[in-house]
Amino acid sequence: MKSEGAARRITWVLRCVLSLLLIGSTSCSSPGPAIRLDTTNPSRTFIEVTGLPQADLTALSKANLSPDEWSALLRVTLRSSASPLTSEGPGMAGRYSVEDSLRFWPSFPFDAGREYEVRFDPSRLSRVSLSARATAATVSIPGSGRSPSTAVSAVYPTSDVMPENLLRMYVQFSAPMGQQGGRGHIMFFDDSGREVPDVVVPLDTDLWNAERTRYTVILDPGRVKREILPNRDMGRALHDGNGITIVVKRDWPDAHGLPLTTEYRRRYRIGAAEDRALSTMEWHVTPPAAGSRDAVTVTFPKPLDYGLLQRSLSVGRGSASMRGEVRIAAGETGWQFVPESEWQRGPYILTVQPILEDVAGNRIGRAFEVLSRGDAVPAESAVPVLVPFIVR
Amino acid sequence: MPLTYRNGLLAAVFVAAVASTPARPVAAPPPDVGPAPESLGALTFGSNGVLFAADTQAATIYALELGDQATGAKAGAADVPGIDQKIASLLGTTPDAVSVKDLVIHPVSHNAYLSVMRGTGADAKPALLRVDGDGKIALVALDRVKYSKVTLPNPPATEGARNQRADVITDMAFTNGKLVVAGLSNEEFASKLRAIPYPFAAADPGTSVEIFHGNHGRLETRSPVYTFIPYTIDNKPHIIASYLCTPLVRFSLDSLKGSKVVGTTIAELGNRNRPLDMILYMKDGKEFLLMSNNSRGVMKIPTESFATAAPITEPVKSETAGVPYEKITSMTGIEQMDLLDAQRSIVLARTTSGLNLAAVPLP
Repeated sequence: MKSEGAARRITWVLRCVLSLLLIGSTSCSSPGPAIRLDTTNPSRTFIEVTGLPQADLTALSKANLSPDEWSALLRVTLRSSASPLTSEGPGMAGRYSVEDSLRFWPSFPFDAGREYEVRFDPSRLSRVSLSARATAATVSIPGSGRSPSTAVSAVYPTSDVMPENLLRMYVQFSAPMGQQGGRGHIMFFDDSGREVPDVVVPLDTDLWNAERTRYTVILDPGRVKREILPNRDMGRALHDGNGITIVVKRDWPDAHGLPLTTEYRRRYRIGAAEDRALSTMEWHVTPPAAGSRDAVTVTFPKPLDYGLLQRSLSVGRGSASMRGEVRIAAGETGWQFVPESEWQRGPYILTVQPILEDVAGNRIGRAFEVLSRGDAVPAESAVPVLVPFIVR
Repeated sequence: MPLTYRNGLLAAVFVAAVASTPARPVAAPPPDVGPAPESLGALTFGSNGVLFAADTQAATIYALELGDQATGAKAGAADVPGIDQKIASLLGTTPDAVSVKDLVIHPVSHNAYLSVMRGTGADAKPALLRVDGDGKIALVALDRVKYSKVTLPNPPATEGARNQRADVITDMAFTNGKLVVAGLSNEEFASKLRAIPYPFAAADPGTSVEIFHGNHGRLETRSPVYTFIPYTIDNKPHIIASYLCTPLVRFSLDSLKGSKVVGTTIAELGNRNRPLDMILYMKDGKEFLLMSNNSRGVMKIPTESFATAAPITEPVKSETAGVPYEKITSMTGIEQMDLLDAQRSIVLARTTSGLNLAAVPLP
């Protein structure tokens, strides 16, 4: 970078010499400061004021300016039609450096597709006197030119029927989403087309997976739980025998700030409340054949939570856990495991973690809501449940 | 040096002995400099001006030593009308791309610190801002800040499955040498309340317990605590908390030693409601809890009966029940709130023209 600046100065000196020799001109004034945006390294873009006299650069490098003084000298603001460059509001935060030019390194990258006003004005410095004249420019990084490409790829549960005490849904997207949560983007409608309000608990935080491709919707537990105020006041949001349609609106911005490709709609029938504990005794394990790499299949009498199903079940032989691939059946009523290696003849263990829940929050041996009589509530198990099966 | 059989055996015995020893808080390692959180959410000040900041996306809590960035500015926090515009200007973007996540007051300087996310897409970045007594907004340079951190343990995925589980931290408070952390999981409905000793010990993720909602003495469910405030009853540390299902509950911090805590419901505060922030303050010799809510405005609740309030054991038929409260109609659109000084709270209030930071007299 230093050599670039030196080269520019040499070029300017050469131009002056040439103009003196060839044209006979005696006026060789400085080209004056110029503002440019350097995007050579996209993750370290900066704004540069070039063409400053060496004396000014020296004075600036020795001046030990405060952040406010730097910002007064070289001010960068987002250009906005609503609030054009004014003295109102702070300039963009960043750091300043002086080498062969004056540079502004923004604390946050410039937004693509937006214009930034840059004003260099030595007259706003009271402590340091510079000879360079003021100048201003508008800089920008081009927008991405992308078009919408993200869609809702699934909503869980995937079964056609959901219990009226449903506690949780997952909205899966085909690509990472932006910072906004589901508030205002997820709506519920009854079969007559009327919006069903207050279905979802109003959080001021959002529940995403790490990739921001899956969003968790928690239905208001105050309405789901029996005998507490919201439930008594408003009843449950879902009613056995009715239908409900979840709508994911197209305007939910993805990671690029673009809307979804299309609105998502899905109708469910609402069934009776599911208030029984899970019992592995009701599960059916279909063992694979020895010597094969067929899946072991576990079927459940009711849909289980899609998210928890992914990580609550595992297969082992002796104390060793097996490597393989997990598949969840449509409707979340089945779980399959395809091992990397062939099944051996003999006993295997399906290990079920106690965190596993159905779609209404019921766990193994303990329903979501239990009748308590003093201390007689059964303690939650922290121990996995082991389900043996034999491969023949 | 080649390991002899005898040395190997001794080493194995030593490892086994270490492994069986429960993790204890140990002397904290020297702090690093320049935290790089993926996100910033809940904030709370601890003793000695340490600022705890939750990186919700990484389920990590940073303890920040602000150093000279906690001093030097004019004390207090002045009103800043249109603070969202000014923050956007400072961060070089538009107000709709700025989201203020939390607001806390420094216990000594009374400057306001705000956690902010800048951007709406995958490239969104966190920012920590300070507002001083002149109403000046400054970006805290995190690269000069000393820090230590603790990451909440995430259960490993089952072999062959992708782990999509994540925790978000909804509230934190420092009390009795421990950082108490409430969070929500994107998978299990039950959540854990953790009490993490500070200084953070690398090997100690804190103790966690599952919190239950004793529902009118009859029904009981696992339930996440969403927001809470430390509260002392009979010289013993307690928590006054709001579950995700709205009731106001009380339980002893000492009870967090077990694996299960059932909170005592002392008030039900109505439906379509989610408490956002709580502060405790004194007025005319009486103590009050001020609670902002997402839809039911601000509530002023005398705390005199918190210790003795009978548990709500019968289903409630009225709009609210238990400890009474007064609705503060003069405070509207409150999104964040903290105690500024003995007479005033500082609030972030949403109006039709934007977001205002304002000091308001305690009601």
